[in-house]
Amino acid sequence: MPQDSSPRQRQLSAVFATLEGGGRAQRVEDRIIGGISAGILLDGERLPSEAELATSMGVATVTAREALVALRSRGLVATRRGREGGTFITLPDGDRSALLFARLAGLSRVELRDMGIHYAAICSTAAELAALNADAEDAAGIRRILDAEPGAAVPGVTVGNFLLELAALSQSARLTREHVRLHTDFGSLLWLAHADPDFDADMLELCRRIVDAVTARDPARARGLVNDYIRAGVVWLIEAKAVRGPAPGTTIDRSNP
Amino acid sequence: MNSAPGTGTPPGGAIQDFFASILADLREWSGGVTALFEASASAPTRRVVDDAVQPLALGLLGESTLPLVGGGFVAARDALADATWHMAWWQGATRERLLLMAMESAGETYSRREWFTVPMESGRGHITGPYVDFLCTDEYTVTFTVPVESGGRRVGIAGADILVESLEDLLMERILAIGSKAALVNRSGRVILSPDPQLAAGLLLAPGWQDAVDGWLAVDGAGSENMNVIRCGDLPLAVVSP
Repeated sequence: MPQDSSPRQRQLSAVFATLEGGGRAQRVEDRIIGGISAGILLDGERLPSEAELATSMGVATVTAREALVALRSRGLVATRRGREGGTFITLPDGDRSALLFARLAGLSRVELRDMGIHYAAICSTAAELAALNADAEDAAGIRRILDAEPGAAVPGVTVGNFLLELAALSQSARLTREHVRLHTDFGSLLWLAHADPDFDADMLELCRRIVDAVTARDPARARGLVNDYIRAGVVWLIEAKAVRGPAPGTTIDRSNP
Repeated sequence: MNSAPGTGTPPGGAIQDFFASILADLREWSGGVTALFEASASAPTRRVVDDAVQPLALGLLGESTLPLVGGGFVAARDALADATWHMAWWQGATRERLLLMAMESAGETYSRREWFTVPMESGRGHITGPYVDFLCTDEYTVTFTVPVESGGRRVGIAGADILVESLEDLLMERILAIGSKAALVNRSGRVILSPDPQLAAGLLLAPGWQDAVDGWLAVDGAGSENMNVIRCGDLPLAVVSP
């Protein structure tokens, strides 16, 4: 439901959406790991119960249980008994960035650039429509997201929430759903860039300028600023890849004798 | 509630009746939730609320002549014995429980939104939207909510969702009867639906229509005509036309 909503809930919906084509414990597990590496499921957060997971994802309860057992054995969740009990995410931030860097190492520059183009196409159109459609109350709502306590949110989560909220202001359900899907995919990589305080501060500033453009009813400027954000993110990721070197085992020796 | 057309029904009366009757049904429905709170001296637990609200919600969705896509009860802060926030909401063709509401961040999610805050603060029913509901329906939605009271205090809201596209089917003829360029707008002057192909749902058409004098809203800007505003009683809705 609307204004001033928490896009987290949208992202959570994406994590726990019905699995297409035969529910299997491995896929339930992959979904939840995806949610963890995307920063949607944070350390200490309670997962839905086995029965709730099963209903939500369209798998048997026993399958959900199997997935939770696997996650427990990997040390990604822990189960506590009692009144305040349940299954909780156990993942310090450092471990999460390791999950993400491993993924980044496996992506080529061409793929990164292409993911950025796709994400930008959706995001910038949403920003343009938001600037056409938003009223003062809507603009105040997205500004509030940026004014959250510094340090209250994991870096990157604030900007991620902001962009999702902006997508909803496009008044397009399809665009919003597509944005969420891509955000889980590409936006989770950007979380790495946001862990760099300089990048994060610059991008928060850029988001403030997006709010100004929405407030001023300037769709072209809103679109341009979102494109600037994603371009900066792609550049940061490519540089980070270059600095960290290739993933182990991917080097190919082409030296001529 | 229905007055025969052409017998002095004010223009917009049919639209007003449609929305007012949904809020009235919701108010009546919420009596079941009030009864649950008044059944014992102490606050109910999540489980007690879920067990009682589930059949009520399924009844609401099943018996309504309208294509409601979701409905239920959303608790005020600390209204339950064992949870700060809680949402007992069922939706979709399979009437599944919205599981996200079992998660910690539920309160953060709903406590500052229009559909929750307006009834909680004003004590009156409210109509929110059209908006992209990425919490429940995942669709372009209008939400009806009324406060639920027990022992003189507001313990939460009862609500129901309907898709904007359903309203299109149900109300287009009635809007067209007012004019081919007429548009039904919400509290902020945003279009809910209009027969005019230029006026898409979501367009911010008549912000500040509440300030209309004698049914006319002065519109700033060169080449823009003033707009005729027909209020829908005291609902946060109006039908505007050039």
